[in-house]
Amino acid sequence: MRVQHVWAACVAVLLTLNLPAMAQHQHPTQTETLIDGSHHPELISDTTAYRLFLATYAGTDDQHRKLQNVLFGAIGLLGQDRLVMTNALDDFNVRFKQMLEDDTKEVSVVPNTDHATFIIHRDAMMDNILASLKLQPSKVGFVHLDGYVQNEKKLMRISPELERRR
Amino acid sequence: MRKLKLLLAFLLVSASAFASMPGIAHYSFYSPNPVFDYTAYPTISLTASGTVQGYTTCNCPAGIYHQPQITLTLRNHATGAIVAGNKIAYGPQVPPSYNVNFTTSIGYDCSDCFTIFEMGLDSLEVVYCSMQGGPFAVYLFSMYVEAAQTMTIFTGTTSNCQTMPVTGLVTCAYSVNNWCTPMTTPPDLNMDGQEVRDTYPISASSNWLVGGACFRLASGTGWVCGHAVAVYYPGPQPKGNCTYNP
Repeated sequence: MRVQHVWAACVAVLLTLNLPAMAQHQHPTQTETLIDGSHHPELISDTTAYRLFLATYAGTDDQHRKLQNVLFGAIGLLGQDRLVMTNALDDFNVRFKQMLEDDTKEVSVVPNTDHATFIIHRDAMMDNILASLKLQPSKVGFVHLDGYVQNEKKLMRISPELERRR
Repeated sequence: MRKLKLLLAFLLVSASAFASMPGIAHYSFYSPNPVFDYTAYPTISLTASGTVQGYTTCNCPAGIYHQPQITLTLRNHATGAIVAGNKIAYGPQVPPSYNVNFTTSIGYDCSDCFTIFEMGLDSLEVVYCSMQGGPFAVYLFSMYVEAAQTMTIFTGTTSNCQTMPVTGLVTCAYSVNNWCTPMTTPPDLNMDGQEVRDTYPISASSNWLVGGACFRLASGTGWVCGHAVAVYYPGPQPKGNCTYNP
């Protein structure tokens, strides 16, 4: 009888210990507060904002080309600046897809990876693309583009962990 | 006593196993301002998009998958009727630690956008977890959009004329002011002191009907608009019914 009581007590302790762990898995976002761009756009780096922006509009099929054309109009890009922006989107699309594929390979080898290699390469790529965007379009074109992306930060919610290299 | 020892051992092993199980989601979300296509004006095409990027760091059991899911819904704000979207777009089912980059869009072509006035766009972006059997990273975002138009009148100031390299066509920037009826003043798309670009020359008495997209994050607050198309009307035109939806 005494052993049974001890058993019951231990099960109770076990359940008590395990419940927070399970809850943490079920609601992991409770441990991470997102950066709210509507309140703190200044906390979102240009690297991140441009990455989300380019990822949203990148694509080479007809539907994406049409959408890009409309987007360029909304931004206020003209003539050669549109070509530069199209090339930037295509460049990002190819390189980012390759990085994601490389990261997937890493995850299959190291399932609990912290994605450090991916994040370093990703941000280096974005630095490169941003530098190119600052140089290639006309000055007016970049002012329009940057103004548009800065305004779009208000519509972003960012994981601070994904920004940890910055 | 032996049972107790076994139980304590089980307790320690299982506690350490569970301690390594918890994961943390690292997802970013983006619901951009919709873009309006005026190519077939007065029919307007609206495209809204959503993006989820990120991954979960965890030692999750094999067989568990995560899946980004985005639901974009466009409603007529006045009636509540759904005009586009409201279907879940499913991303790939991947192990939790996989890096996700998922984007989706909905389109809406409308010839009645100028009469709908205000539309509510809801963007629900989640990452579904098969272990939990429901969403565990959630981002719900709402904004209001409208296609606005404003009748304008030429103020007489011309500037920044440019000659097109191939056609030789000359275009200039013409300064305009709002030209709206008292009932529709001030218009949501404020064109006072703004410029429209058109071919040169024009009559001193000229008007343009300017169309643009307006956004706001809460109904009843001020609109933020950009003008995208200007249709020339030889003047003088009567004051127009502009989009007025405070």
